[in-house]
Amino acid sequence: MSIKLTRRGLMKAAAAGATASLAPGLLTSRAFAAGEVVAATYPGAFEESYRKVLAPYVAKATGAEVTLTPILALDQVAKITASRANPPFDVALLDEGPMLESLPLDIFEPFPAAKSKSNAELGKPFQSASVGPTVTVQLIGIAYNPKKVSAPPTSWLDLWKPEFKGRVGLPDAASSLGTVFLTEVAKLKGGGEKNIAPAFEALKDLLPNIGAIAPNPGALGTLLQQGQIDIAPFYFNNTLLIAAKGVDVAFTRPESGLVLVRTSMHIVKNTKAPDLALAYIDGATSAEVQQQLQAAPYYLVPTNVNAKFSDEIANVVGGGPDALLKNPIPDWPTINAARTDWVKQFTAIVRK
Amino acid sequence: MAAFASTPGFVAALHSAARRRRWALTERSLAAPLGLFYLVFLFAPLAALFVVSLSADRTFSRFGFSQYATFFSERLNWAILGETLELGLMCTLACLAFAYPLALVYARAPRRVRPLMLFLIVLPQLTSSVVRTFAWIVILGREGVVDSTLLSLGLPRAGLLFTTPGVVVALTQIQLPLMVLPLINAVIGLDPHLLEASQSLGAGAWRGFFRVILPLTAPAATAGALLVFTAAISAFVTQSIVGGGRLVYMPKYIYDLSIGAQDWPFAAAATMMLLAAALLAVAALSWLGGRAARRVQR
Repeated sequence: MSIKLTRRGLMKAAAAGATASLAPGLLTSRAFAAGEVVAATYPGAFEESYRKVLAPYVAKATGAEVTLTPILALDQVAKITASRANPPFDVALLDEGPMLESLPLDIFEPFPAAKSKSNAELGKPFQSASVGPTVTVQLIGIAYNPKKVSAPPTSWLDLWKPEFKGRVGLPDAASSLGTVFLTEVAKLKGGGEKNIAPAFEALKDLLPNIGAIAPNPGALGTLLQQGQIDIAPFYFNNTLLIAAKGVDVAFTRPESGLVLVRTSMHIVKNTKAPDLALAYIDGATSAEVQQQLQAAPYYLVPTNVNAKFSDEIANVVGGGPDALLKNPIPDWPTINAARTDWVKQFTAIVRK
Repeated sequence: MAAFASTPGFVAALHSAARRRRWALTERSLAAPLGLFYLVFLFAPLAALFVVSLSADRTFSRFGFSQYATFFSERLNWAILGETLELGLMCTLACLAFAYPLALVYARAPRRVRPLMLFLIVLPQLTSSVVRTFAWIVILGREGVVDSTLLSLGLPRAGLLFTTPGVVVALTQIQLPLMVLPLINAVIGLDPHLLEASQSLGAGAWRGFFRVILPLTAPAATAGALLVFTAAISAFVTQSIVGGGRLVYMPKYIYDLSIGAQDWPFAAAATMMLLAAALLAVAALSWLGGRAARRVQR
């Protein structure tokens, strides 16, 4: 088997290759029409919610093309710092922990609150402090399979019960979810963000119960769906989204409270479309979009005071916006300073 | 044309032309574009990564080898590196065990069947390795094909998902074409008379394999082993998804340290250690392959 390589053949192949590479440009030439805004969003529930509600709303309001990039918070920070002059997206979506960690890196534009249409409508704790408003508050509690778990769990420590041997799923320590699980367990055992040792002690006792550790938070949903695990710490909106798709899963608030993770949007420095980025963020914080997003099946808690809590959200939170803020918010500056150490300790304990 | 270019007269003519200070198409200038590409896009970033690993803290204020000292002093890091290399070794041995029979069957198959066989061997490569990894989750999971079949036969579950054997199985299937293709090339290039001669001298099938086929195909086997080993130790997606969060190998560890904990200097040091270990393995395998090739030529 031999291939005859001639100059003519090589030239033909090169010309074909060059023409082929032009084709995508010809097909998407409408991208050059009214402007484009590229926004980052978390993969899974967030991406689905924004793709179905927010992106069409912003596209209609501005006439621009909205592209969503599914990417996790810390990966966003890494990508932006890797190419500051030409960032891969115009709007970043970050949890509070990664957001505080990235402030010294100076990768966000100061938020033009005066030009923003919706910033003033947000609740006081959610308005932009300097770099961007809080668009939603993620609720962390316990997700479980109601068909296999007879009594709904009431506390984080229920995961240690012998009846859950090999059935518990945990997120990895590098994610917000995993970190929050550790701090809540520490608090129940007499410690906290500043004294995490009780949580790691308890983790050693949890080892026989652990069925799987998900490499990223979204994978927990897949594990619940496959029946690989029956109980895990998880996000409220993620749980209800897969429940709506027919997965046997329910969500419950632990007695110590739902952990709140404030998720905010930011305009990335050196973006080519700062006005469109602002319009996107305004869309995400507008009453109209948030009212839609907090209904079935998205269940994203609204931060705009004009968007009323749906029944499901009011039920799990135990009331309205005042009840929401009674739930614990982690001390992220303390957590961020110790993160490397926690990742190593967690890895050392759970690896087989 | 290749044969013409390698004659000594042609090469001497090229060199004398170069000596006359006119730009000439020597081997060095032909290789220069690719060399420049590697320099800019491979060696320069690696050098930058090495510099990052020399920083003592995240703000790059002091430099030294403290990150490497930390890496060497903590048992956890050695354990993870060791397990990663062990995974590569197990995957390589499993690939060898499957690839040889496959190559021998291919060599003895009638010519009409060979294109079909080649297509079947290469078929997995036509789908992305991520897709194949997710397929393995469906097969190995608690409600998957393997466990359901075992349960229906009245046997206990295999429970292969999120275990080391499960990762080895998935990685072996994904990397197998890398080993089979060089071996096929080597086996069909074997002189069939050699095996006949060994049979007529009284060697059975197994001895014929170990004394004739194995030594003659050893260079190709080490080439395949090189490819499979380096691919297996750096297969981030398969290791993380089929292994789960409890089986921590170097790629996921480096990812957690760099993006999760944002500890770039330590992550860079860990990367350098993985690179050094892989280069050592490549050097060892190349030396083995060189020795085997020299024995064959004798």
